Formats: sequence, structure tokens, C-alpha cells
Amino acid sequence: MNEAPSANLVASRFNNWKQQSETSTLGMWTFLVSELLFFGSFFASYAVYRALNPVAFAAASSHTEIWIGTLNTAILLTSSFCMALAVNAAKQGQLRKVSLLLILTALLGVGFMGLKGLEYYHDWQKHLVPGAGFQFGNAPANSGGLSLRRQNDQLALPPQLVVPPGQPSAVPDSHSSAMTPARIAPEQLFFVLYFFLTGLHALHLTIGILSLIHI
Amino acid sequence: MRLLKNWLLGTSGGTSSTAMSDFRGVAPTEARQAAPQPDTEAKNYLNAEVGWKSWLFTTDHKRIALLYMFSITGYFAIGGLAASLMRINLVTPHSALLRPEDYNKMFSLHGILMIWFFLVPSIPTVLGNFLIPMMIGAKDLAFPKLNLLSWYLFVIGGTVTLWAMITGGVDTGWTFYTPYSTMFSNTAVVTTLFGVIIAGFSSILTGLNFIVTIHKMRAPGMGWFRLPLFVWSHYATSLILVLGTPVLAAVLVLVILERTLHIGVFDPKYNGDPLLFQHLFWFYSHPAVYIMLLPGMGIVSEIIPCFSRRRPFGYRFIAYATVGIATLSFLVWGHHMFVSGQSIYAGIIFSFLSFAVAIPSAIKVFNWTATLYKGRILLDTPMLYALGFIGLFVVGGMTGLFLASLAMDVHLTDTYFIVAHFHYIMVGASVSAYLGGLHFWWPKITGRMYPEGWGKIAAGLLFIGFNLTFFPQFLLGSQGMPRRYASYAPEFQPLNILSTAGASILGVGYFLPLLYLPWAAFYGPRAGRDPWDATGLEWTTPSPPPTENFPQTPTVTEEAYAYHAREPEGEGRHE
Repeated sequence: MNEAPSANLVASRFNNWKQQSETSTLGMWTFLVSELLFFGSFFASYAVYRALNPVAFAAASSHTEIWIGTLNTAILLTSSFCMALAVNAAKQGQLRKVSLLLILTALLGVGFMGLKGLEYYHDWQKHLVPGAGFQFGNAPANSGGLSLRRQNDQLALPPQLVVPPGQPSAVPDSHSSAMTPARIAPEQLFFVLYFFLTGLHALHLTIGILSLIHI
Repeated sequence: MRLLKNWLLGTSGGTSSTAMSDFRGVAPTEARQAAPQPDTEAKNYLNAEVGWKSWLFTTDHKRIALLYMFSITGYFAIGGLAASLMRINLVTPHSALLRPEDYNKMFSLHGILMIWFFLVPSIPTVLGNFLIPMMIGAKDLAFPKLNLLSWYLFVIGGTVTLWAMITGGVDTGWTFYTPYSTMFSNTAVVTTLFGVIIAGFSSILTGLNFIVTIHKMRAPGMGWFRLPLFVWSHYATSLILVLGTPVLAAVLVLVILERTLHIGVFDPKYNGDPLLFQHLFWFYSHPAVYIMLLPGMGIVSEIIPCFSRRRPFGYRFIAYATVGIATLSFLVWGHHMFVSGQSIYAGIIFSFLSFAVAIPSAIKVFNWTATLYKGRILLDTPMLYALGFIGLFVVGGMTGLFLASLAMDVHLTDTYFIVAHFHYIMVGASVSAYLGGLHFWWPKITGRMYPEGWGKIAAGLLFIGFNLTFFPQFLLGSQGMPRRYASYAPEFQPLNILSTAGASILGVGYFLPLLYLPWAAFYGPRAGRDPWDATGLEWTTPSPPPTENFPQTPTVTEEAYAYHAREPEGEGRHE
């Protein structure tokens, strides 16, 4: 490991090429398992909150743009296919084909990101980004007037925590104004998880695209 | 008296070799390739390259292990300082030393540093990194550069966390429960969480490295059931690291999001559920305690056979039990939440499974004990630590069963009983094992032997000090003293004074190795290839080993722990 680089592509700690490539493969799969658990935690949170707020989540998800999602799915599946073809071409030593396929994979990934950005922009225009500007449906922005939809999804809270709208909260909270609403739209919870998960996904995509460029 | 002096100093007088000097002259079995006898100036991993760059940019697993050793010792010292302040504060019932806010910061600092920056890394990154490639006959880990990255991530995470401590600390406890951590605490929560998350990635990469290494880098003939049990333990630990730590990263990220962006994830105002935090947090943190325990069990599985001159009783059972513990550990997280308001039926199931997870641990304790039976016991320092492990682990584990039963837990939870329970395991067992392992492999790591007399004194002080510190806490807890309180009812004072007195003795027990181990590394008598006459491929290399570990990859043709083949009388057969 501390020697000068040689023409041999097998690192000194390995006995042969086969051992080295099997090691890399197992390493990648193990990393993917850890990623599964990482994303899985967020999916688990989503599942829990969806089970607790089925109406609100259904309403919120109906505001996502299905055509962008479908097109993006097709794009990513195609780019994965290109990647698989590239691996195949690499095994057959067709280096030019490998380069072309990797570039195509990366371009499709960039296309995905572009469409995602467009979707984010639309969501921002529709006041669906969580935070101060969040406003869902007919309910006024974050002011907490109880709607029929939300009444179906009430969590059972002890009485002292359920505050009628317009009155100061009994519980001191440094993050809200004096007119603390009883309940912020549960749809916002959907969008919190949505933006976080898709953002994390986009981060991974970026790393992937950069890796492809590097190769 | 002479007997006592001989024991204290080792039968050879504690100078060149050890109590095993009667075994010199027994040739290694032909099945093992003979390693060349080292001359004292031989090139080894320590002197192969010089200069700070050769250390900070090294990819040698042995050097990285030493880098980790220095880092974790530093964090241990700071965490220990926090504990000392806490114990001094608890000498009087009315919190004379610290304000309550500062006491809260102290126990948070103590927990965060000790768990994530000492216990989780300690054995895997120091002894695991150093020994696993050697034990399996490999030249390095599967991904040496990733190993170095793990260390850098660890140091960065620790620096960020220490920065948080300097800029105001954190008072949520190491458990960061919502809604306090997300909505009400005014301390450096986010910075601390970033530090812990970065250190978490370090753990995941180390676990990944170990799993792939153990699968793919074993020498010819090193089948799974010829592996040392130390390797099995680290394999199981790595499974937990890879599967559990991402969940911790995820939940801490959500807390950061909620705190910084003020968008509720755990906030009931937003239809969030604070209990979701607890479920996600403990889904990692319970397996995490097994990360802190299993490597220590692996060390004990190495030391006990060597110092009873017998192969382990029930090797396969120990191996299966190890993986069984790792598996079951993912199914019991709810026992930290019995009083949280979760469903009573969930509580019953978690309670049952918590009893079940004790079974493989018990199997291992029985097997270690059976290994001792009719063995030729040698009470050198590593063995003292290993025997201490068994006793203290049994106490810690059995008290865990008290806590696993629902009705008892309602009374005992959030009291000092819990504190005593987990310290018996985390300190009494895990730290004992770490120190025992350090002593056992010190001659291999440094090429020199530590002073045996001092080793025994330190081990004894640790055992006495530890029990004096933590046994009273069982009593305090069952009498109702709550944990994480800066002050307490006056009737608890006598036991608290005992506990603090014990802590001072324990501190001496920790401090001594900090002095004599580095001293021995530079000035101790040179140790040979195998001063303990132990089995294991790591003992076939020179001490200290060369950078590439094995000039030629060894071929393994005999089973693990062939101590019975070495016994002069030829006895020592089990089963």
C-alpha cells in the first residue's frame, strides 16, 4: 500500500483480481443496505404519519403533479438501464460504448433534476413549501381554523394542549406568535417529509452524477 | 508471602517474559508457518516510515488503530472529567458545586462523549482495526483508505461536538427527547447533533469495512468456524453498526430540521408525535448498547482460553449466540419506553423479547465458565480483567432482567437503578474488557511488555472502585432516588458519599494504565513474538508486526484455539 504505483491493477492486499472485484461489489451492497435503513427510517415516519392522518395525506398527495412524477420515474428507470448496459459493455471491453452509455446515464439524471426543480418551483408557487408561507386548500395560511378534513385527523391530545384558535397557547413556545393556532394543517407534515425525502434523493442523485462524470 | 509476590510480579519476576515462561521451548505446531524470529531493529509498522504525514495519511490499519486510541483516550478523559464533577456535586444533597442547568449539561456531555466517542468506537476501532486483518491472515482491511476516512470523520465529529460543549453545551441528555430538544432547550443542540451524525457515518464505514474484510479477505483454510471468536464478535457488531446507525442519523436529522426550520415533525401542533422520536431513537440505541458490549465479549473469548490453557467450551454456540444477540437486539427497543404511553400489548411483547435476548448472553457466560473448568488458570492482568468482566456482566445483565419485567420497571425507571445497571455493563464489563484486551495485545502492538505488578494493582483498584461507585446506586435507585437530578433528598446522602468515594478509587484505577502503558511502550522489556503462548495468527508475526503483517499469506490447517495440543500433559479435552 505504501509502494510506488505499478502497472498492476490489483492492490497488494489482494491475492487476485477476482478477490478485489468481489470485495468492491460486497462493499457496495453493504453500503446500499445502510442506505436502505437510512431512507427506510424516513419512509417509516411517513407510514406512521400517513396512518394517523389518512385524509390529510390523501388530500396533500393529490396536489403533487402526477405527470412530472411519472415522467421522472421513466427517466430514472431508463438511466438505470443505460447504466446496466454500460456495465455489460465494460465486461466486453467496449470502452467507447461504456463512455457513451455513462454520459447518457448522467444526462438523464440531469434531466430528472431539471424536472424536479420545475416541480419544486410549482410547489412554491402553490404555497405548498412548509414554513411561514404554507397554505393548503381553503384553510387560511397557518392560522388554524379547524376544517372538516382536519377534524377527522385529530390526534387525541390532553385538553390543556388543545387551544381554541385565536388564544395564546397554554404551553410556552418560543417559535410561534402570540396568536398560536390550535393545529397547523397536517398536510404540511406530508410536505415536510416530501421535500426532505426528495431533497435527500436529489442529493444522492447529484453525488451519482458527479461520480459518473469522474469516471 | 512469596507466593503472593510471585503472583503479583509474574513468575518470572515481571521482567522479560511472563508467567508463561514455562512454555518457552514448546515448538509451535507444524501446521502454522513459522514466522522469522525478530531482531530488535527489524522494520515494523512503527518505524517503517517517519514523520507526521506518514501517520496522518497512513492507510495501514495498525497505525489507524493507534490514531483512534489517542483520540478516544482524549474523549474519555473529558467525559470522565464531567463524571467527576457530577459525583463531587452529588456529595451533598443540595447541589453545592454546580447550578442545576450546568449539572444537566454535565450529564449530557458525559453520556454523549462516553457513548459515541468512547464506548462505541473503543474496541472495534482500536483492537478491531489492529487485529482483525492479522487474525484472518490478511495484509490489511478491505478498504484501507475508507478506514482512514472513518478516523477523520470521527475526529471531525468529535471536534464539532466539543465545540458545541464549549459554546454553551447541551442539556437534553444524550437521549435528546422531544419536545424538549426540538422546542424548549436553549442550548447548542444542533451543533451537537451534527457532531454525533458525523461520528455515526464514521461507525457505519468501519462496520462496512469489517463485514467485507471478514467475508472476502480470509486466508486460505480460514473457514468461518476457524475464526477467532474476537472476529465473530466484530462481525456481529458490524452488522449492528451498518443496520442501526443510519436510523440514528435519520432521527437526529429530523430533530435538526425541526429545530432550525421550525417545521414540526415531532410537534403535536403539526400533528406530529413526540413518541415517534423515541421509537426511532431507541431502534438504534438499543442495538447500540450491544455494539458496546459484543466486542468486549470477543476479547473475553480470547483471553479466557489463553489463560486457562483450554479451547473455548462450545465454540459454535458462542459464535451463534453472538449473532443471535445482534439479531434479537433489534427487537427490544420498546423496553426503554414502557412508561411512555405505548400500548401495553407492545410492552408485553418487548418485555418477553428482552428476556429472550438475555439467553444467548447467558449461554456465553456459561461457556466461558465451562472453559475455566479443569483448566490451568493463570491470573495475569488480562485474565483479571476478563474474570472481572464475567462477574460484573452477570450483575449488570441480571439487573437488566429486573428492568425487563414491566411492573418492576415502572418503579425503577428513571432512577439510579438504571444508572447502576448500565454502568455495570458499560464500565464493569466493556471497559474492563477494553483494558484487558489492551494489556493482552500490548506486547504485540508495541513490541514491549507492560509491568505486570502495576497491571494487577490497577485491575484490582478498578474492580474495587467500580463496585464501590455503582453498587450503592442500585440501592439508591430502588429506594427512589431519581436520575439526572442535581440535588436529592437528604436521606440518600450516605450512599451518595460512598459512590463518590468509589469513583475516586476508580479514577486511580484508570489513571495508572494511562501512565504505565505508554511508559512500557518506550521503556518496557522487549516482548517476543508470542509472550503468552497464545493461539491465533496474530501471534505468529513479530512484535511489533511489519507493515504488511505477513510476508506470505499463511495457510491455516488447524482448528482455532488448539491449546489442548500444546498442553504438556496432553489433557484438556472438552466434550
